Amino acid sequence: MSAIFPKWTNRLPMMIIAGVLLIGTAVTAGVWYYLTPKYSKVGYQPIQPVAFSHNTHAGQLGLDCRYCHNAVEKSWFSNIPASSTCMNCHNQVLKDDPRLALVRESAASGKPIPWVQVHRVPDFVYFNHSVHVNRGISCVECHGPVNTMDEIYHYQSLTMTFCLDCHRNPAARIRPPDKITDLNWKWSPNPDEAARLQKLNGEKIVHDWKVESLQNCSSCHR
Amino acid sequence: MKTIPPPCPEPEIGRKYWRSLDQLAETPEFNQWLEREFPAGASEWTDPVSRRHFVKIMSASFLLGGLGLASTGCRCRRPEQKIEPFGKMPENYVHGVPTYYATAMPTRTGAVPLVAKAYDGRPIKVEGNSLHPDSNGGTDRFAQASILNLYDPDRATGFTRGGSVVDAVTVHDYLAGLSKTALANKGKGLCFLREQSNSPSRDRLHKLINEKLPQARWFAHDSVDLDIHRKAASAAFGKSVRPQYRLDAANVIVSLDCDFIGSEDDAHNHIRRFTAKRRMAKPEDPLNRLYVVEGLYSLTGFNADHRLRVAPGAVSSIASALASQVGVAGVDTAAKAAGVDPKWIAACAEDLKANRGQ
Repeated sequence: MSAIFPKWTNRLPMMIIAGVLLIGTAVTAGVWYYLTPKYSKVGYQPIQPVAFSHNTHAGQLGLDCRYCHNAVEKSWFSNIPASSTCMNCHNQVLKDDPRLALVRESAASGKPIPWVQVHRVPDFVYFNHSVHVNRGISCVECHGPVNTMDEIYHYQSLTMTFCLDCHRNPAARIRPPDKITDLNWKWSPNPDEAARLQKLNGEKIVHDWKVESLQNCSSCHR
Repeated sequence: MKTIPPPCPEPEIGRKYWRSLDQLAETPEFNQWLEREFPAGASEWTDPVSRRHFVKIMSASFLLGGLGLASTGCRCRRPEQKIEPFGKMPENYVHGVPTYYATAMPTRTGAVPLVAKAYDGRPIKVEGNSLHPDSNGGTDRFAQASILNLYDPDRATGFTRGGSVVDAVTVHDYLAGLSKTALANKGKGLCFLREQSNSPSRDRLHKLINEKLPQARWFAHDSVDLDIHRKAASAAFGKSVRPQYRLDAANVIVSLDCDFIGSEDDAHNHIRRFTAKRRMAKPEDPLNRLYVVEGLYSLTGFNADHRLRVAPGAVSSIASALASQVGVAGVDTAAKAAGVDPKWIAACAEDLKANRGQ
């Protein structure tokens, strides 16, 4: 047989086993690292230059999201408010609070506050806030219950799967466009009733507002 | 491998062509170039660092770099990015949404009404302003290109005098001194050189300066006289008029060396008026016909149905030949354009006559 199988083929089974082990380890390590929520920044909560609490402002005081993020309905970019926006209230409320020193200084000098970015889609993804918000996709669907967060954190993984789940079936998440910033809003306090109404009204809104279920690659990767 | 070009047989009779003066003189350098494809030393590799060696060194350095990165602890975190909003919010500013401003670009005899698209305060595109009564929403090439002017690194950023940069204080001092001497002698000996423009602001300033310096003299300079259409039309109609071309109403258009959709003034209106009758919604829609007589190849000539290339000096004789054949009174009926196909002129005149008033 040695004429057909040269001597090195004796080592072939061992080589195959070693190769499979190596590749298997690499795949496991890759999945372990890349496919976990931590990789997609879930729970990421950097220390911000000013300890701004969404819980106080949006939750307890009931400020509308759009008071500060006023461009969210007009632009792809949902703006971080300028320091002068904070001073609209804080020139009377907590006027001399030391925690707001940086805001006062920034509003006076015009030097921006360096907020740390939390939510970020990669550069190869086109995401437009105004399109989603104006068609009845609430802030809460991506950003989570911001009105209960003391410091803002990354609520869930904003991966492509996450986008596609909703794009394949927008009716399951859509709500009346006037309720988008009411983060606690539900169709009904009863979960079963809420699910029924979501299905019923979701399809109606999708139809009436001509919401498209965009699944082309080029819808986002343009 | 050396490629030896096939010998190019020289014609026995007739003109001999040559590609360079060296070839004509048959210099030894030229003959050497014919023999050798590359100059001496160009194709031999004498450098001790070969490409293979380079790649070897580089891959080793990348490997070491990777090991170094791994050993210094995990620096593979994504970089922290900052969002820096305004300190004071500008009014009506929305990041991500362009702002549009109505503006105008001055030309020699008027202005092109424009809408400028600005992104974060930076203009990025201009288009015609269709809401303006003197515009159909068109622009010309100069208006389209003008946006690049704003970002031109060669744009003047300061004052220069005699080619060297001078600061603003010096210039203002100099101008103040100039105005003092000019005021003292009522502007005698002072001349203003300006380019052609009908800007009302400049007219106002002209008037103000004239009141103070009545003896100053004003000159306008233009390298190309585009006022010739106004002069010609004034001569034809017997009173001072400025022609407005209704190309959208014309069936037959003859352009005598006039690049009306390219470099002429009002091209921003002419382009759309001209193309209005070139778009067919239905097969039976009328099309216009453009005859162009010109010396240079212009955009108008490119769009012509019938283009006649002549020396620029022959255009006027073609004009009179056309006029006489169309039947304009007072033109020499025997006018003939030398070196021009008379059939072309005759056909063009026939077409003009058939579409009289159109």
